[in-house]
Parts: sequence; structure tokens; C-alpha cells
Amino acid sequence: MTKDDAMLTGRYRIASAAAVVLGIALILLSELGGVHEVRVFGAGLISLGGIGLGVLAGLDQPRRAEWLAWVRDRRVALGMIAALVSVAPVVVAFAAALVVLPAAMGEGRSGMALLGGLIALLMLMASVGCFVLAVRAIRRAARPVTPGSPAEAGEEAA
Amino acid sequence: MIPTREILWNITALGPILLYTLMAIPFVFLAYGLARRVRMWRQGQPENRFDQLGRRLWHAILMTVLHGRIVRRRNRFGGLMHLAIFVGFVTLFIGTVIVMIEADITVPIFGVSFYRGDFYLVYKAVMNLAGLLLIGGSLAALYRRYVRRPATLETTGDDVVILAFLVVLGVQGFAVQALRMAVTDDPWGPWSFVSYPMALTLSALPESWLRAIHVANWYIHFLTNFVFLSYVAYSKMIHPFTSFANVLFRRLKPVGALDPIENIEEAEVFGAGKLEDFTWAQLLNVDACMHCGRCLEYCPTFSTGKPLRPRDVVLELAGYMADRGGIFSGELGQGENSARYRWGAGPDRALIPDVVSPAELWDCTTCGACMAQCPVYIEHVPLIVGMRRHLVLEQGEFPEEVTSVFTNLERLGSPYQFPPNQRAAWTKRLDQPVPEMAEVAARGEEVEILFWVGCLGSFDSRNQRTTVALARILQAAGIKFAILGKEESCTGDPARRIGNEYLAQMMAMQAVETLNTYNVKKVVTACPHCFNAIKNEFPQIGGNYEVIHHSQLINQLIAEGRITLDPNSALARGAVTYHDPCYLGRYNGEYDAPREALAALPGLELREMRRNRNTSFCCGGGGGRLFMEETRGTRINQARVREAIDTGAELLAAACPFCMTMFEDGIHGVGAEESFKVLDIAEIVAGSMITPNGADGAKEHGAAESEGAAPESAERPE
Amino acid sequence: MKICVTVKQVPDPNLPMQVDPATHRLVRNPDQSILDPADEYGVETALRLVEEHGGEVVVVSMGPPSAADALRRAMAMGADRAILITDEALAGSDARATARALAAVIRGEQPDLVICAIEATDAYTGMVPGMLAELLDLPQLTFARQVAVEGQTVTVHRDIEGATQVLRAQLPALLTVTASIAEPRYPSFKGVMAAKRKPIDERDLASLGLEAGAVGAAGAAERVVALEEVREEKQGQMVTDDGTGSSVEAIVAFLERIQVV
Ligand SMILES: Cc1cc2nc3c(=O)[nH]c(=O)nc-3n(C[C@H](O)[C@H](O)[C@H](O)COP(=O)(O)OP(=O)(O)OC[C@H]3O[C@@H](n4cnc5c(N)ncnc54)[C@H](O)[C@@H]3O)c2cc1C
Ligand code: SF4
Ligand code: SF4
Repeated sequence: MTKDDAMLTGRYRIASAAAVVLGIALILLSELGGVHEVRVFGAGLISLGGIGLGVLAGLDQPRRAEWLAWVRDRRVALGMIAALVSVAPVVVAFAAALVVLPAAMGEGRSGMALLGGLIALLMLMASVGCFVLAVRAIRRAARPVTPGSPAEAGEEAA
Repeated sequence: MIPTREILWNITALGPILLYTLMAIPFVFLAYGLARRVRMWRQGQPENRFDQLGRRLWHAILMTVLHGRIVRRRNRFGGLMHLAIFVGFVTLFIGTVIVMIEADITVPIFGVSFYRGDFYLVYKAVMNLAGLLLIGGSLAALYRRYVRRPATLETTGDDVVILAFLVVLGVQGFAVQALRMAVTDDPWGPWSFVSYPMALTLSALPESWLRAIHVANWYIHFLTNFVFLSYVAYSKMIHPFTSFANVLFRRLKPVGALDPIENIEEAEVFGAGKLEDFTWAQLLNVDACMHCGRCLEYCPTFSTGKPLRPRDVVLELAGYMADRGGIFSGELGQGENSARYRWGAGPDRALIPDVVSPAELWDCTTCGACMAQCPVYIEHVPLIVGMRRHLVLEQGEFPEEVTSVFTNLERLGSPYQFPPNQRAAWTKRLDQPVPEMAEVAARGEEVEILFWVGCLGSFDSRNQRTTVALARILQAAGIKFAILGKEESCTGDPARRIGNEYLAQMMAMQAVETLNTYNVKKVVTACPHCFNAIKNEFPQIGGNYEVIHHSQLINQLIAEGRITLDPNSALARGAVTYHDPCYLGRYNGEYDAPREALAALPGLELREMRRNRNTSFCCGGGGGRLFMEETRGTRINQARVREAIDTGAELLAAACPFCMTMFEDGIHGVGAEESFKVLDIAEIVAGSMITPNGADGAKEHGAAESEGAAPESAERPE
Repeated sequence: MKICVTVKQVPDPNLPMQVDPATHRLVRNPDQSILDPADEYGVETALRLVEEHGGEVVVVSMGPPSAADALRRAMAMGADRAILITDEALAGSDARATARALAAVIRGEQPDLVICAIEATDAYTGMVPGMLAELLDLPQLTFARQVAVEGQTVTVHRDIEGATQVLRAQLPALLTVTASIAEPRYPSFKGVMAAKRKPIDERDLASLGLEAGAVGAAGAAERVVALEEVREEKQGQMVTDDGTGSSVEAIVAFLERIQVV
């Protein structure tokens, strides 16, 4: 990268960051100040600024980023937590539906309520199943790569 | 009351503040991951893929959004499953955008609301359907990965995480909706046909509970979405972007033509020994792979247990590129960057042999079955040949058996150790002479068509019979033709596919020069490899001819009544199966002419093999493999011969000298000489011809000449 | 270590040979002439030794100017430089004259090892290496199928009737190598391109310090007095089987008649 390029990149980076900050300010103005007209501009600035920051960093030379290393070292734990957090609320919702199913069936429209309970059960199973599979997958992905020639690596998994 | 709903119901100002502020994060991650890839692609060699933009764009939409190649006639399951997930996800995404337009633009700025009334009702129904498609499709995908488990599919952690994400996102959407409706009790609730019954059930809960659970679900739903979007660029979920780009910038030239190394005498790099030696479009190619495994389905090396799996070659390159580009960690030197790349073993490796092994490169038959199946137009053969070029031209490394092929080509103009002056030796077997172009030109005459015999047809004794048969057909039809005789030389096909581009160009140039000297316009050949080279590669160096394959010409002669077939032909009886040669079928789209020619013989009953037409299974002889030892896995030719025998046919119809050689060997290999034989289309037709002087061709072709003649046909009284 | 490999350009043995009836000499068409495949083994041997021990491979040939192509091929394989002895006056040299010319050049190079093929694929006299060794006063180790150099000694394995003989000599020495010594490499394109830039040193008689009378037709001690083409053998006898296996007897009877069995 030439010096000019570097300078240009620096400017773009500042502009992108400014866009994000301005966008957030507009969102605050919209939601707290009740000026909802500016919400879409806030959202737009935040998106554009985010894209700008991402693209600029992505086109740059790869470099060592401490915080990323920190994330990578804990990615299994973080993945587990994320998986748990993302399914917990739906599990609560569907489980609650199943718990109150008898009561709901008592209130007339019992067929519909039963159907609702059934759908909730299926969705609960899907959520829990996916959680289990994802946790297994996350743990498996964390296994160290076994060294060996690519051909051999291909052979073992038929 | 007009049907609608309160957007951001039950959500305080904190909701949108967090939603919009945090939105920056997925955008940063997505843009970063994409830009990282673009940065790597740009390190590739230049190549113009910006021509015909209109056609490119339409094709890209057709093949991605409209699922042109994703849903297939065979193996519908995977394609339809993908379609369901795609339609579900995209519809839900558009739905979200519609809500945003209402809530953030039209209402606050213009004071207009459209999210109501009939539109709203239909919208709700459509969104519920989309949610079902998304969840159903994703569950079907999990079922496929865990229960059906096709051999071509390898499940990585990434695949599962993505599907789990999709299911959970869909489920969350329904939960949020049901919880809200349980409180608001909308009279038009049934339009949300999935959530509505759940809302009824949930309404038995106290409202404060419902509101609390709703808030939790709402926040987690958008946060899950953001995490998912942030994950996209570091997983195979990048494929909507890379695949679209790849189809958009795909190679539009004929698949049968390999790109030459331009200006080879002055070039400094020959083939691909480093990632950067590939073109940018090839680097984009490897990033477009989402490891669907379709390229393995008809791949002969995968099917016979060889190290080469085209998917893995692509992924090995993709993993290496990710390592070198610092994708994910933004850091060089990290091997285990991502769940996607099982072989991501760090950037400090040599492309060959560390990333891709020579065994993988040399096993490829260049049959093109991978490219014909790949839904996103990844071109494996140019990648493989590119690396072979590096091995041959820069390293001088290739299987030992190939050395003599190269030296023979250099010195004698054919892969075999025969002097050129014996090229026309087969003509002695014919009653009528076959003129050579030199004589014809010396007499100042012209011919209708040049018969390009090819090296196998000239020198290989088995294939000489096909050559003789074709010459008889041409003579019987009264076609004025000539051969080049000793002036003919290899088209360069084997050398080019083995990676000896320099030799290949020399051969091709010599052939074009000869053809142009005689001002040849039209060429017929019995060899699909010659056919492909003359048709698709000679134009690269100024050789433009009309080329037809002998099966096409024969079919045409039969249709025009220029040759007469004996309906009771002794040779053409019983069940026959036809093998599509890769270089005729997949590479040049000719599937029907040989079948029609066979259909003209009423005594034959055509039975198709399971793998036919563009899913044909290679004989194992292409890409220079005919001249190499098959040291790994089981035999490709025997696998194909067994498949042919399994149809119940006794006769295998071939249309390619390479296939012929492989099948003769394969039939011996499986020990079926007694009950099964292979004949070229030309042999079958010539042997069933009623010639003007009344001679029955069967004696000369197949029946008498081939070792494995079926007893009934030989004994049948005339 | 410096190794001189003598290489000859010969008409491609796969192409039909043509003989000039007047001079009894082979018609040498430069387009159809190649580096003698027999000499490729010598070049390969030298390259491997140099890859192992370091040093230089010099290829030496005597022939018409077109013989430069053969030298280029050897350099494409990896030889470092080449010397071509070419002079009108050399035409018609016999083995002795050839050896004299080659010796004059090789003497100047002072190599540790001289490698020749057993015999050239066109004239097949097999005399040049022996004469060369004599003229250079070198020990000669012939018919090597395996060679190793250690310090100042060279060891070769050669097959003799029913046994393997191991010979050892002090360097400098002269070897002739058989086809089983090593599979010659196919020159990479990189090598071909590099060979175009490698030097070929052309020498004429004057620079060799040889008298015109010692070489060429004038210096030839032998003369080809006649050259006859081998007549093609009569066509084989066809035995057709009538399905009873009678052909087997017929073939056995034939073999007995010509006293093979
Ligand atoms: C009168 C007469 C005229 C001849 N005229 C010609 C002629 O015009 N052109 C011609 O090519 N031959 C000619 N020959 C044959 C030739 O000169 C010698 O016989 C030949 O060079 C040595 O014999 P050879 O080829 O059988 O070598 P061999 O002794 O069989 O060769 C063994 C090895 O010696 C080396 N060697 C042999 N010859 C050469 C060479 N020229 N340069 C470098 N290394 C070599 C090679 O390593 C070779 O593999 C003639 C022979 C005679 C008798
Ligand atoms: S070209 Fe054929 S052999 Fe080669 S990778 Fe593709 S399918 Fe496999
Ligand atoms: S290369 Fe194409 S067909 Fe093969 S796995 Fe990748 S995307 Fe699928």
C-alpha cells in the first residue's frame, strides 16, 4: 500500500466510525426524543458505517488482534453460552404452553388449544434437538486438526 | 376494525435503541469476511470475466435464486430441501424489511401506513408458511445428514451449527408471534395459522407472564439473528454471496476447452504452483464451494476409493486460502481458524504437495462429472490441470509411464512408438483405396470431408477395426473423403490434459498448420478427444473447422438412407447398452446421435445404465490416464463394465477409442470375455450394412474380427 | 566434481533408416535426429552424481552443427554446459578419429569422470569409449548398472554371466553405463527454456590442435565397403482352427520342424 492509499484508508475509516456514532445519536434522538423521522437515517448510517469499517479492515493486511485471539481461545465456551441463551426463551415459552395446556383446553376451543399444544411440543423438540446437536458440533469443531496429508484426511471419512 | 398490529408491541424504547445500535456488529463482521475474501481473490492472475454482463446476470439469477441447477431431476430430495430453506429464509427476510419500511419510513416520515387490511392478512399467512418452510427444510437437512447420510456428504460442525441456527430462528419467530397474540387476542389471528393455536394455548397464562416471556424472546430473537449474520462470513453460509459471484463470473467458454498458457515462450510462470498463480476467478471458484458433495456423485476416483475427491481439492484450496488470508482470526499462522476447513493447517505450506497431493492430481480422468454436477459452476478440471502444469513444466514431475508418451509425441507425433509412415497401414484392409490429402491436393481435387483418424485409431490394433469400419461406411455411402495419412499427428489432447502445455501447443499448432495447408473445412473423427480438441481448442490458435463425430455422421447417413441396414443383422441382436464418452457427452452435449444410430437397428434393444448421459461414469481413460498405471483404489474400467453387464446386455456400444481400450481391458479384468463384448457404433453399423455388391458386413466386423463374438450371432444361418 | 558425458546425435531409431547407396553412410536428416537415447542414461547418471556430490556436468559431442540440438536436450535435462566439435574436415570420421577428437577436448576439461554409453544407437561399434579411455589414459569401467562415488574412488556394479561384479577405481576414470542404471528424466519446460540460455562452446580442428590427416575420412582406419538392407522376413504361416483344436497340433508340428521344440 502506498502512502497515499494509507492516508485515504485512514480517512475512510474515520468517516465510517463517524457514521456509526452519528447513527447512534440519531437513534437516541428518535427513541428518546420521539423524533421517529430520523430513525431510518440513523439505521442507515449505522449500517453503512459498519460495512465501511468491515471492508476497510478486511482489505487490509492480516494482523494480530489480541481481542480476537482471546475470543478464539474461548470460542467453545462462548459458543455453548450463545447456544444456551438463544434457545432458553423459546424453551420457556413452549414449556409454559405445555404446562397450561390442560387449563387452556378447559376454556372452550379445546381442539385448537390441543393443536397449539402439539405445535408447541414439536417446536420444543426441534429447539432442544438443535441445541443438543449444536453443542456437540461446537465441541467437535474445537478438536485440534490432525496433521497428515490431505489425501489421507480424505480417506478416513468415507 | 382494520387488521394490523402494533409494531414493537410490548417493547420499550430500549428495544429499538439496542436493535439499531447493535446492528453495526453483524455488518462489520459480514463486510470484513467478504472483503478478506475479495482481497485474496485479487491476488490471482488477471482474467476477463466482465463480458456479456446481461447474460451473466440472468444466468446467475437463474442458477441461484431460481435454483436452476440446485433442484435436479435426479436426487430431488437435496434440491427441494434447499429450495424450502431458501424460500423460507428469503421470504422472512423480505417480511422483516417490509415491517421496517412501515415502521421506520412510511409511517414516521410520510404518515402513511400500508401494513394493514388485506395486505396484512396475506402477509401474516405468507410469513407463517415461510417459517414452516424454513424450519421444515432445515429439519429435513438434519435428517439427511444424520439419517440418510449419503456417502457424498460429510458433516462438519459448521453444517450442524448453521442448521440449528435456522431452526431456532424460525421457532423463535413463531414463539414471539404466539406470545403477542396470546395477549392481544387479534380477531384475525387465524391468518397466522401456525402461531394462532399456540396463542390460544398460551392465553391460559397470566398476561404479566406472557409479556415477560415475550420480551425475552423478542430480544433473544434479534440477538440470535445478529450472531447468525456475524457468523455467516466465516462459515459455509457465505455461499449465497460467493456462489452468486461465482456463477456471475463463471467461465463462458466451452467447458471442453482448457485455457492455454498465452505466449508460453515468454511466460514466467507455468501452471499453478502457488495460490496466486490461479486466476482471480479460480480463487473465487474455491470460495464458492459449500461442500454439497455433488461433484463426488459420479466422480470415478471417488467411486473407486482413490485419494482424489474433487470436493476435497476445492476445500483444501479454500482452507489454504483462508489460512493465507487470515480469515476469521485476522492473524497469520493459525491453523484451526474455522470449523469449515478441516485441512486448515496453516499458511506456511507448499501448495503441492502439502495442500494438494500429487496423487490427487494424477488420478483425475478429467471426465468432467464434477463440473457437470456442481450447482455453482466450480471448475475442478482447470484447477487440477493448472497444478499438473506446474508439476510437469516447472518440476518435471509426473508418473514415470508418461515420459515415453511425451518423447513419442515430440519425436513421432503420437503417444505410441510407431513411425508416422505407418499411420495409414490400416487402409490395406479395405478393398477400395483411401486417398491421402496430399494426393488429392496434388491432383487439384477437393473432398467433402476429412477423416481425422487419430492416434489410437491409427496405431492401436483394436481401434484400427473401428477405423476400418468407419471407412467402409463412408465408402458405402459414397462420401468423398480423404485422410492425412503420415501427415496426421496428435491434436495435443493427452499432453494438454497431462499438463504438458508446451508440447500440447506444439502438437496443436502442427495439426492446425497441416489442416490449413489443405484448406480443410469439414472433419469427421471417431475419437471424442480429437473431436473436442479440434472443435473447442483449435479455434484458440486459428483452426476453425466444422467437426462432426462419427456417431453423428453415421446417424445422419442412416437417416438420409445413404446406407442401408439389414434389419436381421446377425451382429445387431439382443440387448445392448451404450456408454456416453465424457468428451462427446458432457463436454460436447451429444447424447442422442449414437442412441439413434443404435435404434435404427431393430434387432437391438437399448438398455440404459444407471449412470448415463450427463451423469455417465467415466471409463477411466481420459486426461492421459490411459497412459498411466492405475495404482490406487479399484479399477474404474471394471466398475463401469460391471455396471454395463448389470443391465443384462451382452453388448456394450462404445463411441470412443479410449473407452474401447479401457473396456476391452475391463472385460478381461472381470473375466466376462465369454459372455460380453464391446463394439464401436461404427463396427455395429458397418457389420449390419447391406453393401451394394451384396456383401454382408457382419463377417468383417465384430462377428469374425472380435475375440468375444457372441456364439448365436456367429452361428445364425444367413 | 566435474563430469564429462559424451553424447551423440543419432537419427531417430523409430523412424525408417535411409542409407546413401553411394557413400554407404546414413542419411542424417537434422529434423529427425535426436539425442541418442543410450546417452540419456549417461546424462542422467552424471546429473544424479552431481546432485549428490555437487559439481558440474559438461556434455561433449562431435557432429554437424545440428548436433547442437542434442546438446540442448542434454542441457534441458540439467547439464550445465556443452562443447560441440564440428568441422567440415571431421566428416567421415570412424571410431578412432571420433575418439581422438573427443579426447582432445576432454583432456582440456580435466574431468573427474567421463561417462559414455555402451554403444551408439546408429553405428553400434561400441569402440569409442575404449579408445577414449586409452587416449586419455584412464581406467575404464564398462557396462555399469550401478555407480557410486566416494571420495576419490568410484565403484560400479556390472552384470556378468550369472554374477554381479563390483569394480572400483581411482578418479579420474571413464564409465560406460547400461540402460538399467537410472531412468532418464524428461526435461521440464523450465529446463528447456533454461537450456536455450546455456552456452555451447563450438570447437573446430584448429582449436583442438589436431591435424586434418588424423581425423575425418582421411584419418579413418576403416572403410565401409558395402551396406545391404536386410530383406523383410517371409510372412508368417497362418493356422486356422476349425473348432476341433486341430490348430494346436499344426503349430506343434511346425515348431518341431524348425527344431524349436
Ligand atoms: C568411414 C566412416 C565414416 C563415417 N561417417 C560418419 C558420419 O558422417 N557421421 C557420423 O555420425 N558417423 C559416421 N561414422 C561413424 C562414426 O563416426 C563413428 O563410428 C562413431 O562416431 C563411433 O562409433 P559409434 O557411433 O558406433 O560409437 P560407439 O562406440 O558405439 O559409441 C559409444 C559412445 O561413444 C560416444 N560417442 C560416439 N560417437 C560420438 C560422437 N560423435 N560424439 C560424442 N560422443 C560420441 C557416445 O557416448 C556413444 O554412446 C563413420 C564411420 C566410418 C568408418
Ligand atoms: S474430472 Fe472426473 S475424475 Fe476428475 S475430479 Fe472431476 S469427476 Fe473426478
Ligand atoms: S465443488 Fe461444487 S459440487 Fe463439489 S462440493 Fe463444492 S459446491 Fe458442491
